[in-house]
Amino acid sequence: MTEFMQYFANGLVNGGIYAIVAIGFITIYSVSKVINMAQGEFLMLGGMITVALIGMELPYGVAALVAILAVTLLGIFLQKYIIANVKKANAISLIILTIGFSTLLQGAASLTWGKDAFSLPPITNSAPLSIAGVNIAMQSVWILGTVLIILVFLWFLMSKTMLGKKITACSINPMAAKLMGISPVKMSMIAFGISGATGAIAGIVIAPLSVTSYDVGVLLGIKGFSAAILGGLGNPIGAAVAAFLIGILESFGAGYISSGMKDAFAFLILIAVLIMKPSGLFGERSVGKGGL
Amino acid sequence: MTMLLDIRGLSRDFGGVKAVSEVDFHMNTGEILALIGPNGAGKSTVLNMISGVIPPSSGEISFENQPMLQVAGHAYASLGITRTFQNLQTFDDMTVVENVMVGMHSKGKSSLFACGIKLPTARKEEKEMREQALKWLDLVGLPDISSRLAGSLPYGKLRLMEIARAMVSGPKLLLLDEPAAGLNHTETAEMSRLFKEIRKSGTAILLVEHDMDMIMQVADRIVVLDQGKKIAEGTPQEIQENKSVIAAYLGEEEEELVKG
Amino acid sequence: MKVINKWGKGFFLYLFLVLIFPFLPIDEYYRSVAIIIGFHSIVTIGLCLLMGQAGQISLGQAAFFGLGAYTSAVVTAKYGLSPMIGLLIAMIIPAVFAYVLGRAIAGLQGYYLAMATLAFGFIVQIGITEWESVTGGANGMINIPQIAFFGESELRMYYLVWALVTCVLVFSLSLLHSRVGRAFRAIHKSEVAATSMGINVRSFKLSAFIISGIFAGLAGGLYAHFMGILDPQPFGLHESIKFLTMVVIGGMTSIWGALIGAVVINAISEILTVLREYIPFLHGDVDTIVFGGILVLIVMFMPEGLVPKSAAFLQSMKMKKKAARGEEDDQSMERKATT
Repeated sequence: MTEFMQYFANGLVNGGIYAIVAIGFITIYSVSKVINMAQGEFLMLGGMITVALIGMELPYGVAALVAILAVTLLGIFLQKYIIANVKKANAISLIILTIGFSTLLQGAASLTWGKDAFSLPPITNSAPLSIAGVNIAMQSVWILGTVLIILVFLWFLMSKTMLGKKITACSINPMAAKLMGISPVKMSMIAFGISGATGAIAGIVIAPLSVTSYDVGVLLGIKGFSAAILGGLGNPIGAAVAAFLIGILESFGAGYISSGMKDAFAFLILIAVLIMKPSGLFGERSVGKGGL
Repeated sequence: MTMLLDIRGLSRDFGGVKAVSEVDFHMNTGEILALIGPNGAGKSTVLNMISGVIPPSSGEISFENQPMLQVAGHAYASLGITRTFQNLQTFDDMTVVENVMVGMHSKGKSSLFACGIKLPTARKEEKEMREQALKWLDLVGLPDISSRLAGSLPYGKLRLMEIARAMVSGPKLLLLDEPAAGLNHTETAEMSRLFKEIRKSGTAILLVEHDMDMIMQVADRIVVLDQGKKIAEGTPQEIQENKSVIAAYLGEEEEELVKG
Repeated sequence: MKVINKWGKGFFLYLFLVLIFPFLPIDEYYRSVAIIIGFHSIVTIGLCLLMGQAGQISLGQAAFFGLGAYTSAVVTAKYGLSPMIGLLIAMIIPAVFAYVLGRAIAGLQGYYLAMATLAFGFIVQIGITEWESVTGGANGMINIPQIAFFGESELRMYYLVWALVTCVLVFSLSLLHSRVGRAFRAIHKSEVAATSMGINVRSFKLSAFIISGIFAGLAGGLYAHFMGILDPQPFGLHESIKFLTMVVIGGMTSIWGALIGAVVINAISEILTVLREYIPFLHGDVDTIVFGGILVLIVMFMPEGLVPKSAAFLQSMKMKKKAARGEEDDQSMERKATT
């Protein structure tokens, strides 16, 4: 039973990270109908830049802030100078484009920092919590806390603020939004910025728990996408639930079946969902055709 | 004359909105039937259901006494139903003759392997397809441009090419969705002549069209839809004198006047 | 043959270059590079049929490559079958996988298809790594027999590989201008129109998956016997993206483009390797940056790719010349580069 609870707790933490990635995908997709295959790289860069800045003797908090800001700007750059300039964009060309960008970022990271894995010190240095024999690192608490804050923040932003309403308007009908004086291009940029920022934060909070290296973004990105699909591409709450589900299933799979197969479980879930219910467990209208 | 197509109680909802409701009509072999009505009357929806593109919400469609609702979309061509599209669906990066040869697909049998290694049977089939395609390009009045890219052709010629593509497999029923849209007078006249030729060859035509002059000239019978329902059916002469048809069209004009 | 006639000079130039390449006065190392390019070309031609013609994306092509490699390696090194039979099985097993995968996901489009194939690629790589008793796991396999093609030598391997590349090339070019190739291209443009012309969209998508899987499997089998050793590392996402880059740079719509793309990308890799000796800063994955950059730039500025672009350029040059001579030429609009 302790073992079971331990796996459950581990899964919950990973699931939280996948939730942030999934919501990053959805934020961008809902506004611009682009699936940003470089989403995972936002996490990688968040972690790696923070590590690098701490190595340059900057205080933890400053390093993290600079990293978040840098990745946010990168997200905006990707939208404004690259994606917005593609003529005749369709799903295939956008996939190729963002995959290219993600490969580029990975290459740049490995050139700058090498292929070694780095670790960040935990945010708070206290002993792990022990609840009924289950050990939970303080960092895991930080992760779950951050995930909850981000989710609540995004929910508040999207449903309670003018900006959120503008973004929603663009995602429902870009033409009508344009006529109302809302710029879909600007909203797309904001969406990319938000995704960049939340991705970077997620990358920073997980770095102390698992290590970070130039290629951690790939798997995180795909698992986040699996969650986004499982939950339905237009449904952030569904995606968050799905993300926790994937994290927990994966943790049980790794614990009870085979740790080497850990990543395969998430992919099998993804393929199974795509085959059986491509609209996601929590329903969504899109068929994933994409295009601008 | 025998019954070719029989439609009973055909209905289609789009998210609760009845686009077509309880439409019945039939077609005989080798006749030209025009389906007309004001904008939004459901003409294209009916055509899409007959060609298997969208499934009806309820109702029956039978073709040569065979129920069509269970038939897979790609089997329509080999049964003898082909169509053109309101907004052209041409393959721009293929040549004109290749476009038409796609229309012969259902007549071919060559497998992927046979085509890849060019088995004699595949070559023979390819040659026959090409000849047939060229013949139809000639018939629709597009000789000499068979090796041009479809994407480089003007609109009117693409419309003709689409008809050649639909006719090349020798269908029993040809469905045309606004074939004269965007054409000038000469082109429309040419199109009417072509329809008569096609009828002579034994193919029946279901024509969805706005150009009344053309319809009155070529149609054997006319079915009128308004707001998804059939309001009249008859010869061009009868339809011209039908009060409810006139009212439906006048209603539209009045609305347009108000809007304008 | 009609395809060859149509391509006339181009095809003979290709044959000429392939035949004389081993006798050029260059380092023998480049002969093995040419062999590798041959493997890549076979994969990219298949990927081109799938992506450029049938319009379906695959981010897991390296998985089929790996399946072919391991299949042939296992049946020859472990069960003592001859490499030629190994190659045959190396085409069948990926075809079976492609069939099952294709059956399952043929209804998916765009992003969903991309992600499903990407996930498939990961699963295969993980599967190969974890099935240690057969594949040797992460340590890989050694002592994979060479292919005896009138004897074993690198020169003979070169000719065997390029003979197969030529077969695959001619097969694909023939396919393109046939009932099946037209069906692929029709599906790419409009599934509704294709269906109305009697094309069974699902089954043709499936056959595009299978044929691309077979080609990748064949290339993988050849690769295994050429290398003599295998490990799971080169069959992951990185390699799939490399294949994608080759197809995109050459021009997705062009079979020749797939071949040229394989040459260009390998040439870039070799140039970077040479440069690395002089510029120590270029450690790590410069290739990755370059490939990523190429993908981004091509999509932004030259989405049609090298071969169609240059064909269009040559065409316009010809037209200018003709115009200068005051000739009228109806053929000038004629299609040249859809192959």
